[in-house]
Parts: sequence; structure tokens; C-alpha cells
Amino acid sequence: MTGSHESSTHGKPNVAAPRVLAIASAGGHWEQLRRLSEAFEGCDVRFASTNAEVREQLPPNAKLSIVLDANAWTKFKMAAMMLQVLLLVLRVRPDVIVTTGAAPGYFAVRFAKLVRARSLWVDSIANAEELSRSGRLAKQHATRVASQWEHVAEREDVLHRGAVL
Amino acid sequence: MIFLTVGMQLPFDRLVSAVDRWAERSGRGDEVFAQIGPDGAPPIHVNFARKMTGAEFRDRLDACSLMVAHAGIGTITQALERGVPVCVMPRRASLGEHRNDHQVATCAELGRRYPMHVAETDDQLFAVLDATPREPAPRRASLLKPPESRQRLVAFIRDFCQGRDA
Repeated sequence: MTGSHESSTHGKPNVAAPRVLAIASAGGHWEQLRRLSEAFEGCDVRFASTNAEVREQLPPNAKLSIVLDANAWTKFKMAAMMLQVLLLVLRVRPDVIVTTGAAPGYFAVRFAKLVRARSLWVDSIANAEELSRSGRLAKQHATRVASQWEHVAEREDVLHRGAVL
Repeated sequence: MIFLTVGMQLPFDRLVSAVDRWAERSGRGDEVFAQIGPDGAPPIHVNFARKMTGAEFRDRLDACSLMVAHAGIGTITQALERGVPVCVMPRRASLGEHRNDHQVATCAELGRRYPMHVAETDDQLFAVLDATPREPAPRRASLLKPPESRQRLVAFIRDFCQGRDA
């Protein structure tokens, strides 16, 4: 699949550490990604979000990119943000994209195939009844989709592998 | 101190005005600080800000004896992580407070797992507010549960990143 990088890491510094783009909009989505960030140990990770303030909650040397904050009601901003995410994906050339949503994560998942990245959509824990709107859309494009609720995962035919809370 | 927060995006006037009315009725408005969002209707009986930075938000959490909030996940997790008592009111789509009723589901599911008050009505909210002590709470331990479920998700994501999930 990714081909170009060795996937085995056992603690020692690895020149071929997988390149990861970890992306989420600021607020609840980011809060969840942050609480899962140990998962990126041993990876060459770049974070991306929609508010520069998230920097405060990352280690000082962490790589972080900021894209526009947009929601479905601001179509122009949304288009501009989509372009920013496209450029980010092309520039970072990640092996793996991990997102907890929402809109920026969806675009990242859409563009993943341009750089042959595998993508993981972890649906926000806020969606306790059904998959989020963006999760539904991402479902057709992401390599893997997981809900943080078992009953939602069952109903929507996606994975359940734990939750941040 | 009672800290009211509705998130940085949408207004939640129903909750803000309920707390404002409680402040007037109880005479305890000086104990309340509200964050009401960029487009929220301002309260009369309590001090407020429209937005705040993440650092200000965390400082307010550490200083309060109760956080009253919309049922946003980021808001709730940060409060629980800092051991802050929580009372949430879910936003309702039928009242134009959000796109859908996912906050109602959040309250139902998280309310089962975590110690938090869920106020569906003003009266339920007032009862929690009435019972809140005036004194600032001492430094508290995290209320978040033992992390098995989170560790499991972390392990899954780690395996995915390392290409070991097949």
C-alpha cells in the first residue's frame, strides 16, 4: 500500500518513520485528537487545525499547520480551506492521514488518494446516535472509519475500537 | 465562582438568559462569569465575555466551583479532565440552537458514564445552581475514567499509522 517506508519501529529512532498528517478542526474535534496523540509516537507527525491557539497544547517542537476555520454556512471560506488542505496534503505527502473531523478532516481524507496515503476517520464521540454528517461523507473515501460508540458502529457498519472518554 | 460557557461558535440564549434570571433571583450575580459567543444576547445581571482564548478558558475552569455549559464534547472533556463539577444543557435543533440533536444524545450517553448534571429545564438548572457553594473549589483530581477505552483507541491508531492493522 504505502510501499515506500519500513513499517517496523521498536522504540529506536527510525529514518523511515511513517509520515502522518493528524488533522481536526479546533474545539471538540481537536480536543479528541489531542487526547489520542500518543498514537503518533514513532511517527513523523504534522498536526493541522483551524486555530493557532491549539499550539499551546502541543509540545514546543511539534509541527503544526493552520487552515481557515469554515463551516457549511460559509461556502467561500469552505472552498478556500479545501484548497489549503489540498496544498497541505500535497506538500506533506503523508503515508497516513488520521482525523477526528470535521470539514478539514473530510477534505484531507478526500485528497489522501492523490498521494496514496491511507486514511483513518475516527468519528467524534459527540455523535452518539448516528455517524456525523462529515463521517457519512468520509465513509466512502477513508481506508478505515471508526465510531467511538459501539451501537453506532454496529448500525453504520464501521469499526469500534475504543473511545477517548 | 460559577462559569457559564456556550462555546465559541453558536449562541445559546436560552441557557444564558436562564442563568441571568437565576442571578437576579438569587442575588448571586457577582459569582457568575459568562462566555456567550460572538452573536449571543448579553446578560444583564452577570459579567460576560463573548469569546475567550483556550488559556483563559482553562483558568476560568480552575477557578470555578461549577461549570454550566452547552453539551459540547471539548467543553465537557476539558472540565472533567480538570475535575470541575459540570452541569450541561443540550442544545435543541427544534429551537434553532444547533443543526441536530446530537447534544441530547451526548448528554444521555456521557451522563451515564460520568458524574455530571444534565439540565433539560430551567428548574433543573436552578436546583443545581442553588446547591453550588459560594467558595471556590479546591484543586481537584480528574474525573475522567480509567483510560482502558482510550488506550485501546490509541493502540488501534498506532497500529494503523505503522501499517499493522490489516
